[in-house]
Amino acid sequence: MGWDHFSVHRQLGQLNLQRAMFRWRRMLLRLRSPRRIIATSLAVAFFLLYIFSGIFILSARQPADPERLRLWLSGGMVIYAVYHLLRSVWTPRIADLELTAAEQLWLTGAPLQRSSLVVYHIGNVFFASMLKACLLAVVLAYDVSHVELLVLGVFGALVLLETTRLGIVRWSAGLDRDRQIRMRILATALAVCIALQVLARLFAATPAGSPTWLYVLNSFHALGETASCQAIQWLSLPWIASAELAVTENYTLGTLLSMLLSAALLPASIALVIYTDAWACRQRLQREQQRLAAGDYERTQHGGDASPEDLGLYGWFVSMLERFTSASDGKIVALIARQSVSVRRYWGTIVFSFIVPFALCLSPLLTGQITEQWIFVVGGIALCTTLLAPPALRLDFRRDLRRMVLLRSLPVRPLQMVLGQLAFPILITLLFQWATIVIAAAVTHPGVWQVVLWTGTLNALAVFTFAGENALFLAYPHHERAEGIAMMIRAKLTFLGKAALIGLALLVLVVWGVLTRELLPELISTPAFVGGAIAAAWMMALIAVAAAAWCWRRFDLACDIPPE
Amino acid sequence: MIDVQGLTKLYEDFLAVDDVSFSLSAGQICGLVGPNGAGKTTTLRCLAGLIPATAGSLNVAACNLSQDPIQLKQRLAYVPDDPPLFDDLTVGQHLGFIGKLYGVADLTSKANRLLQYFELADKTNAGATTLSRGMRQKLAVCCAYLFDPQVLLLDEPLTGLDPPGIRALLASIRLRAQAGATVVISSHLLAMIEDVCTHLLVMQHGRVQYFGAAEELRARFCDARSLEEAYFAATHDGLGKPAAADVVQAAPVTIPIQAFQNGASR
Repeated sequence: MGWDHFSVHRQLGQLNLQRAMFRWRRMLLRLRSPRRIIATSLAVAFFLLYIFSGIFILSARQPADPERLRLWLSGGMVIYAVYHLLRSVWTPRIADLELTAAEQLWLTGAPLQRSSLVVYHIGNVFFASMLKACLLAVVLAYDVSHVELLVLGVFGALVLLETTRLGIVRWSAGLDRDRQIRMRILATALAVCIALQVLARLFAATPAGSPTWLYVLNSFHALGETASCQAIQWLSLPWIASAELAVTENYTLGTLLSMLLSAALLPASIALVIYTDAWACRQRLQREQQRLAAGDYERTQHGGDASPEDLGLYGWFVSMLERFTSASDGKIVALIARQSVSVRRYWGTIVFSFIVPFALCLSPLLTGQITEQWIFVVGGIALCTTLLAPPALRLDFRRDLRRMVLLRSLPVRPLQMVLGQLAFPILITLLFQWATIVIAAAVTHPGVWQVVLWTGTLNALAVFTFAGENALFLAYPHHERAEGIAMMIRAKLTFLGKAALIGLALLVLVVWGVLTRELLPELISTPAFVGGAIAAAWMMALIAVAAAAWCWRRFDLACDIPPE
Repeated sequence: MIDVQGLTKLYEDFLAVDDVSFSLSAGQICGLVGPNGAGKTTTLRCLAGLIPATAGSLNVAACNLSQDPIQLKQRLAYVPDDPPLFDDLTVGQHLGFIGKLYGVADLTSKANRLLQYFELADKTNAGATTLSRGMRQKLAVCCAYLFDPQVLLLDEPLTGLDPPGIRALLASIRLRAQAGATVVISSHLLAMIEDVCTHLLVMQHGRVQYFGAAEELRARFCDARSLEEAYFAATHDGLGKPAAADVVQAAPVTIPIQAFQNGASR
């Protein structure tokens, strides 16, 4: 394991600084455009609202027990690490330190040790971690004695989590096929164990037949209890010092010790990542050499042109589409066929991403409250559709920033392009919705009108969500693995926007329900309510699709693609 | 200066480069030619230490790649086809960063001279995203020349350059070789590189079809009127293949599904 001279790290630090300055200047230059003004105003409003609520609203609550806070912080990091482990072993992509193409050429091609590249990568997350720590401090400031130590502790914990994640990714890249399968089983078993612990605590804390909101409330408590349990706390040893620091009540010698330990753990974890990275590189090379020695290879490359016949179920789907669509729809079918290849490639990740939402949506069925069960299942589906499905199914424009020139050059109309790009993510979300609704309806028997109403509106919500998400992406594009403050604020704003939209939609639905009941005869009030709600939902969905098509038509290749 | 023995590279289950061996001395310029997918870029990337060779011994600029990769990279420059640049750095900042990383003395005047030579002086403060394809190529070459590498590996360096740019680049390659550098140029434009190359390495299906002096290749195929024809003869290209006009007329226009995929260039 070799280390470069300090001057090399200084150069890499300067590179980061220059790049940040360039982005800052670019942002200032573009600030005057209307859409940037909107984005900036929203970001400023978010910050003000966040700080205002932190100072004036959250400070009015009962302060949390520092010990519990400490356990949650350290245990929470372990649960995050398990999540990254699970994701890593199920993801087929092998990331080489997650460097961009330019970094791969100019940094891996330069006379630099791999250790410098790892340090460079970790250095890139320092600023974002500090900002996250500051934002968290706004919420937790009232619970601790020293805000500065809280920021320092959370910052240390977050950076350690990032090095752990990188270590897990590199370690996973070094595994051979058999070991990867074994690790998939082990990691899944570990995640299932944690989930069962949470469920067991939830049911122990909530008397049978309690209202569903109590289950929701207690689920947070159960998650916190699980994070605080002995097994998780043993695993969280590396985060104990940071967590201890975060909740320090008085400055003592122990505080200094926690600070030193927390600081010392960072280089130690970086060293571990470097060691793991070297191991992964060796393992990959050894596997190549073994295959070569065994003659286990081809001289000609396969898989150049994928025809629908080669694509199994998806191929069948595509050929059916071709059979039943007109020649003018052929372009959409071609785009869908292309998406099907990606779906086939990432099916494991997609299925994994939907297992948890599926279980969460159906979990209210265990509460024994028939009326509430159906409402909570439907609410769960709505939340999963708007919040979890879009990040899990990035198989649309959001994945194609590098290929925008190619997409633009295709003789496809904007609306056709949007339909072709969004078809698969929407279809997968619809499958998830239908499966959940069928099971929930079979258990709770909510009635035909309820099933029709929610199937119709939730399906429209899926279309609206993906169209809206893509319209937003085309208006404010970003790279797939973009991180940093802008991305964090964007995520928070999008979340708030979606929550507000769902709230507004529910309000409109209630008003519509009251109106139809009051103004129409009983015989037609229910069909009118259901039909009107579905029609309105689909109208919104179609408007969102049109907006996405408009954004695609307005997408400017010359200036809309952000620097990587 | 470059000594490659039995270079082999396996990507998963595909043998991209198969037992390639060749040697070049200081001052020699080797044209690396071959059809698409012949293994040229993989060979160059292995030589540059960007990807590990599955087997073989690679000695570049008096350094063994497996024993001293850092020293090797200090003495070698690799310019890929359509080089990726830092989108958020200017032209001048690219040169500044590379110069400092490689410890270049007299950086400013050297960088200015290179920018002048490749007609990029007025772009010093321009962002990388504002550059044309040819300008990006020129900037990458400037970065490569900046630290006077002993070995230069250029992958399709002429693509995207205008005629004066091509002329300037080829002249600079000649000068570098005269100063003692070993140069490998991968290119499909045989007629363009014909005059500068002292050696040719012809690859097909990952294997070496020919390695030796450029004149010897021509001599081996007496009927060939140019190096290009000799190359076609060496790679047996054209035999049993339909005429280009027939292909254009017969082939329907389709959107290749795989064209969109993320597969890394080899």
